[in-house]
Amino acid sequence: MTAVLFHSKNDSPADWEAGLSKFIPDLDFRVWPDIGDPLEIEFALIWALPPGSLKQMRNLRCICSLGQGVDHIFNDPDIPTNAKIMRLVDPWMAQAMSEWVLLNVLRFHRQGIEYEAFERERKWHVLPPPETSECKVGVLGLGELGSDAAKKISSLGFNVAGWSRNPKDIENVKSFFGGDQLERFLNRTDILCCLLPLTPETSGILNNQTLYQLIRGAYIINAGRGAHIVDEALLEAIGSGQIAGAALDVFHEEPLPERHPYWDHPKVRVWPHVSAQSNAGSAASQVADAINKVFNGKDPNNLINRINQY
Amino acid sequence: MPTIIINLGQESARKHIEEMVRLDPLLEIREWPDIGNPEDIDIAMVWQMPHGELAKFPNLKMIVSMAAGVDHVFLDPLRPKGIPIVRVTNPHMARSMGHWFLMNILRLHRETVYFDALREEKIWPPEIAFDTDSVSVGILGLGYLGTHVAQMLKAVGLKVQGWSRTEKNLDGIQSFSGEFGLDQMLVDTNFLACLLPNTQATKGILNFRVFNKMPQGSYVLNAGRGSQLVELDLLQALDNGQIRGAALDVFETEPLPTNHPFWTDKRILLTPHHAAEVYLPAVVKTFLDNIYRSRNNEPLVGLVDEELGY
Repeated sequence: MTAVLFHSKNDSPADWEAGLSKFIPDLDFRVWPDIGDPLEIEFALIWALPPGSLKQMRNLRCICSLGQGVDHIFNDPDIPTNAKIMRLVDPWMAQAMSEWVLLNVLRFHRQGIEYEAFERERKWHVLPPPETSECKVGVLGLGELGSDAAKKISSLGFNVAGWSRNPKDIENVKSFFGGDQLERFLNRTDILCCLLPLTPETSGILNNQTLYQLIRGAYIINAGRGAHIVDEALLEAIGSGQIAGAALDVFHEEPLPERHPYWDHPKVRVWPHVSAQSNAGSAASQVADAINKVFNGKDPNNLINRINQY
Repeated sequence: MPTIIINLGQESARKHIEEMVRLDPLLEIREWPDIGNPEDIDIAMVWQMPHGELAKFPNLKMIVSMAAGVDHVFLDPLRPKGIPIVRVTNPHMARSMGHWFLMNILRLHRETVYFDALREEKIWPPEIAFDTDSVSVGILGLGYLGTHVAQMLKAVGLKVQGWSRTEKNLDGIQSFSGEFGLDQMLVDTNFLACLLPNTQATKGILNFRVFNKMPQGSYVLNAGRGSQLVELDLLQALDNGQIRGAALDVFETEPLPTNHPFWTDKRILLTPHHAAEVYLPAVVKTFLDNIYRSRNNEPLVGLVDEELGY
């Protein structure tokens, strides 16, 4: 007797059960906290389950994150040691994320802050345009999401580089890697897009030192995690003119607290974590495939290294 | 001594002349209306030259439209006939046009107006997923610019089809022609992107009949010419929900009058005729290229068909 545990505050259990049942007709689907016998659960499909909850599921063999990130799983110090950890690699999620990134890159590149202000003031005014091939976009993180975004930004004619832990070979995307090359990467960047996973190493990566390594007047686009940015440092750098503007989809605390200075800041565009959501329709076949593999004693795809945490 | 005349609004004309003379100090360029002896003029570079002025130059060999469109030249009834007219066909301009369409399709698809309103109120909405599959772009006009835009949108993962006067054969982009072809395309188009040339045949093409052929809740984007959109039909279609939103770069009257209802209509995104931003150093090189070609009797780039009017 094997069962699948489900938990998420944001995703509909009914949609997921229906989606998975198409592929696994006899699915035993249990929604937290009504989990029945915890020893029957071998597969967990979760987002932000309260830490400590998995400990009792001693036969758990695989934990699948409902989103691209797995930091919410590693927040739990008591994950059963035998459980493998995987994440969804939903091709539509990469497409949705790239669209959100492209929208914000183009909005900054085409002087959207200025033109949208003209529109509100009913002012018909054209600014000298910047040249796209001279605009240097940098993508932090070249995983599934980052590499898709980097390729698509490059297809629009921008000069694109990426930074990742290890060197990457992506056509027309200059590869920087490792801690040693971060500064050189930032030194050549006008528009920075952060699509990193959150790990102890990347937490606070955009701080009062690194933000000043960017080209003066650079823009920041963050769809990684809120904790990648030191908020006080970003606000200071915008105030000093070092950073010209930011589009942020993720925050230290979500929903973003009402008193947070980002909300009213004219140079900060707050998005309510809508860059890319996994969707039961397009991701169900991938999760069903993973469940079948795990129940048959095989390894699923897209496993996470428990040491690197990504 | 052959001489060039230029008319383009003072500031812009001066910048063009400076750049042209920097690249070729031997050029003699006069700024309209200081034309000197009209017999000296062999090339006229124009943007909305007052009617009748071109007829004053008996030795004219070429008319250069300083934009992608040439309708402003054809509208002059006294224009000397039989003199080659060229328009700007510049890859920088085409890329800029592509960026404008991509940015505005994404602004509409990703509901930026809705999110801006939420931000004003500091409201964090429930989770929303956006489905790329729901976007189907139909391009009106598959000339130099339209083809470039279609290919750019396809490269970033959007579904694209196109319509033009004569059927085109483009890789991976279904193309339609004729009135029946237009109706066929509209049935499956929810983002209608117009970059047609301004001719008798395309005047008022964005009208109630066309809007009603599209699925309910579609979007309209226009960067062709203002006269191609029937403004009252758009407002009515927005009111009855047939059209959900629009992005407009061109208008019947430009600059758009301050009391025009479009300015304050939240359903309409507008920009001041800058979709195809002209990066001066690049476009000046294409002007010089045609000047040398004209004087050496070589084939011109971007030559316009007198009968078709584009």
